[in-house]
Amino acid sequence: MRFQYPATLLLSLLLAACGTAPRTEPPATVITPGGAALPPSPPPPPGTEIRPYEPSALPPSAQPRPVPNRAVAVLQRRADDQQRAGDLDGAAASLERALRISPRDPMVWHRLALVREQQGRYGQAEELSSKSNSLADGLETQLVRDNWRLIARCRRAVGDLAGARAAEARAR
Amino acid sequence: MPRKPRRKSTSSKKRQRANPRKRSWLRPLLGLAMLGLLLVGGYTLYLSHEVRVKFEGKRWAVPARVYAQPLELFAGAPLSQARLRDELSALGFRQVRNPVKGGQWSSAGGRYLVQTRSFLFWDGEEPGRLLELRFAGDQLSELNDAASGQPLDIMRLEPTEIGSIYPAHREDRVLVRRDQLPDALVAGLLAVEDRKFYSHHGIDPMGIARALWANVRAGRTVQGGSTLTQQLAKNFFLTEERSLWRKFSEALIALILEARYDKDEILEAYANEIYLGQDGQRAIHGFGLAAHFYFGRPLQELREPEVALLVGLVKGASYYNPRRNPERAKARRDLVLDVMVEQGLLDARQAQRARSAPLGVTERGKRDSASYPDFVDLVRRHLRRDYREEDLTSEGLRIFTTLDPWAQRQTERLLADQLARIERQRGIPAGTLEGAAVVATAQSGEITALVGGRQAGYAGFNRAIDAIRPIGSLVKPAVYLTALGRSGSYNLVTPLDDSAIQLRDERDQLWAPQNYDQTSHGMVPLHRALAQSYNLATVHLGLDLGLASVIDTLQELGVERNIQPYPSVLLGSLSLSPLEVTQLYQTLAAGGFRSPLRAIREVQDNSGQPLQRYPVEVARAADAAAVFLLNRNLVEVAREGTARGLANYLPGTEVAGKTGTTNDLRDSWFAGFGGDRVGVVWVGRDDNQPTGLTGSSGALPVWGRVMAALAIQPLQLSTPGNVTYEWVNPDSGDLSAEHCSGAVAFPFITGTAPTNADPCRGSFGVGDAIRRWFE
Repeated sequence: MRFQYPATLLLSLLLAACGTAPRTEPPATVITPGGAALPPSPPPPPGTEIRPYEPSALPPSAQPRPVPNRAVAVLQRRADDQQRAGDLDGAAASLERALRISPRDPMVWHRLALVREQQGRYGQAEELSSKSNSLADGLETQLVRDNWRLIARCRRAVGDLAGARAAEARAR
Repeated sequence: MPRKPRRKSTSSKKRQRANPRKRSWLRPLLGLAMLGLLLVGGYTLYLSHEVRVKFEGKRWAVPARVYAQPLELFAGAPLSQARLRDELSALGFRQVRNPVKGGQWSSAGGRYLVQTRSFLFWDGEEPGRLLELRFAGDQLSELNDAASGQPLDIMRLEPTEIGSIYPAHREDRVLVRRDQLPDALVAGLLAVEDRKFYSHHGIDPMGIARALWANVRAGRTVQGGSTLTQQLAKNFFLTEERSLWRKFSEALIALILEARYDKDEILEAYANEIYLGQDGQRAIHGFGLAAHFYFGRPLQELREPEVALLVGLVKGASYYNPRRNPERAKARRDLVLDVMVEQGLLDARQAQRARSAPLGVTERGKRDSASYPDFVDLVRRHLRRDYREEDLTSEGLRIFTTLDPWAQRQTERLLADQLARIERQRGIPAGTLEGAAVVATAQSGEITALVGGRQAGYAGFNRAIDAIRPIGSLVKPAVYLTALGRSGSYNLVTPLDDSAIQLRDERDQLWAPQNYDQTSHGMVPLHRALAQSYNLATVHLGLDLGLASVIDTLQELGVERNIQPYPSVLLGSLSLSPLEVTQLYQTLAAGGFRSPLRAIREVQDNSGQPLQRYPVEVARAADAAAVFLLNRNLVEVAREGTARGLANYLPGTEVAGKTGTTNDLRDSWFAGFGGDRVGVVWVGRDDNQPTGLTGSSGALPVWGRVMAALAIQPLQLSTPGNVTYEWVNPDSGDLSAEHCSGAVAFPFITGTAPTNADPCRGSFGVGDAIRRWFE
C-alpha cells in the first residue's frame, strides 16, 4: 500500500509531462524507502483494485526507531583518532560499538572495512565493503563507489587483478 | 621368628652393661635433642621454603569472571526508567536521597542522578562520575555530566557479572588489595579475632593462656587463642586435620610469615583466603567475593552492620549463614557490633542504628553463576576452543560477553509463562512441555539471550545448544532461496506443481509426503507455496533444483553439520539445535551476509590488559537480490501465511519468519527476524512424544511475546540495485499493469520478469513502451 499514492501522483506528473518529453527518455522512478523503482503504468480506470506486493493483511505502521546520530558520530570520531594513532583493534572496537547502536549504517560498515584493510585483512575488508554496499540506499552513490574502490584495492593486494579491474569498473 | 628378638635383646644388654650408668642416660637424650633440633631446623627450612613459594607465587587460582554486555547510555538510547532501575539494582546500586559515593542513585520527577563506579573495559577505563538522566517515554532523552552540567555523548555503565568459571576444588574469590579493605572491616576484624595483631610476632602466648583458662573454666572450647597469622597459616598451608603436630606447624608457619612479611601483606592474604560461605558446590572465599555474594555490592560500599556481619562469619560461615539462620547471624552480628563499641570503633548512637538495621543480604543466587547458567555454559564451550581449562579457572581472566541480561530475563520469563499457558489452554499435563529460545542481533550475530529450558535459573539440559531436533519447514527458505538464486528459471510468481508425489526414500521405502491440510493445491505461485508452507510444491521444487544444491545453500547459510542427501531433507528431516537454526536465519536477517554467532566480545587478563577480541566477521553467503526476494516472501509468511498469528503479538510491526512443525507434531518451531533482532524458539517434549502443537500454535506465540517485550524493530529491506518491480496478475503469473484489476507489483531481479503479458496490460496501449524502458 505504501507505493500506491506516490506512484499515482508520479504517474499523473509523468503523463502531464508526456506532451513535451521525448518518449525514449527513461521515466522518472519512484524511490521506495528501500530504494527500488516501481514500474509506471497508465492511470487506472476508476474503482480498480491495486495491490503492490506488500503482502498486506496488515499495513505496517511501526516505524524504525530513529538512529541517535550523535552517539554514532562520536564513536566514529573516536575510531578515527584510534586509527590515526595506530590502535587498529581499538578503532575496530569503537566501530563495533557504533554498529550496536546503528547496525544498518553503511558508513560504519565501510569504516570497519577500512580498518581491516589497514590491518591487512583483505578478505574481511572486501566482505565488509560488500555488506556496506548492500545496506547503502540508492542515494549514497559516493559511498558505493568508495566501497568498490576498497574492494578493488583488496583484490589487487591478494593478486586478483581481474577481480580488481572488475571492481574498479563498478567504482566508476 | 621368636628367636630373633631374644638374640637382639641379649646383645643390647651386653652393651648396657659395658657402659657407665650416667653416660647411658645422657647420650641418647643429647642425641635425641640434637636430632630434634636438626629435625625442627630442617622442618623450619622446609616450611620457610614452602611459605615463600606459596606466598610469593600466584597465591590463588582465581576463576575467570564472566560479564554481561554493559548498558550503553546516550541521548536517544532505547531505555525505559524501569529497565534503568532494574540494571542499577542488578549492579547493587542503592537508592539514596543524595548520591555522593559510587553505587548510589536518586530520582525525582523522572530525573535520575547516578553516581557510577569506574570500570576498566577492554578498550580503556570508563571513569566513575555523577550522571544526570532524563527520559521521554521509553527513551533516554538527556544524558549530562551532573558535575559540569555538560551533555555527555555516550558512556557505559559497568557490566553485571553473570558468572565465574571456577576450578575443580570450586574455590571462588574476588581478590582485594590491602588498600581496598575498609577501615571498619580491619578494625572490627582485629577487635574480634586478634586484638594484638599489630604487636605480636605471629603467636600470642598471652592470648593462648587466656583462651586456655577460659576453656578450662568452661570445660569446653569457648575461645580460640589463634592469631590471624595462625589462622592464615592453618587455612593457607595446612589441612583440616586436628593434631598437636599440626598445631605446632601452624605456630611455626605463623612465626615464619611474621619474620618474612609485614603485617599488611599478611592481613591482605588473610582477607582473601578466609572461607565465608557456600553456594552449592562453590566455596566463597575472601571478603571481596563475600560482599558480592551476600550484599550484591563491592566491599568498599558496605555499611557498618554489613561489615560486622562479614566479620562475624569468620567464626563459622555455615553456622552463622545469614540466609539459612538469619537469627543466629543477627545475634552474631550484634555481638560484633558490641565489641566494636567496646573498642571505641562505633559510638553508641551508630551502634544502635546498626543493630536496628536488617541483615540486608540479597536473595540467594542474585549475582552468582547460577543466574544464567545456559548462557555461561555456551561461553565456556566457546572459550575451550581457545583457552586451556586451567587458565580459565585460575588466571583471573575477565570475559566480556554479548549477553543482554534484561533481554535474557524477558525471554526466560515469557518462555516459561507461555508454555504454562499452552498447557492450561490445551489440557496438556503441567510441566511436560519444554522449550528453548535464542535471540541474537540481526546484522552482527551477537547472542543477546539464550534460554535452555523452562527452569532457566538452574543448570541442566541446555536445549538451546544440545536439543538436536528435526527442523521441519524451517528448512524451506533454503529450498526457495536456491530457486530464487537461479533467476533465469525461478521468480516469486513461477508456478510450482503441488501435486501428490511418491518417492523411494533412503531405506528404499515408499515415501509419500503430504500437505498439512492433506490436499493438493494444483499449480501454485512460488511465493504462495512458501507462505502457506506447502510440502508437495516444495518437494517438487527441491527435486528439480537437486538435493545437492539445496544442501549447498544450507551450508552457505551456516549449517556446519553433515547433511545426508535424502529427499526428506526438503521437508526438514535434518536435525539442528535452536542455536544452529539461529545461525541459519541470522544470515537471512542480514541480507545474505553470514556473521558467525558470537557470545564473547573480549577477554582481558587479571590486570586488565587486553588479551583477545572476538570481532564481528562477515561472509557473503548468498546473492543479495535472491535473499531480498526470499525475505519479502518471509514477510508474506508473517502477514498472511502460516505465521499470520503474529499480528496478535506484534500488530503493525513488519517482521519476517517461518513456522516449523515435525511429524506427529513432536517439534514446534518458529524462526524469524525484524530490523534489529533474529530469534528462534523451539517447543517440544524431552521424551520426544507428540505435543499436539504446530509451529504456529506452540513456538510462534512465545516468539511473538518475546519480541514484543524486546520491542523488536520493524524489518527494513534495502532493495538491491538490480531488483525492479513489475505489475503481475497474481493468478496467472503474467505481466500485468497497475490499472488491471487485482494486479500486484512483485520484485524481480532485473530481466527476469515474466514475458507473457496479461490481455489487460495492452488495453491502454502504452504498456509495451513502458516495458521497453525497463529492458
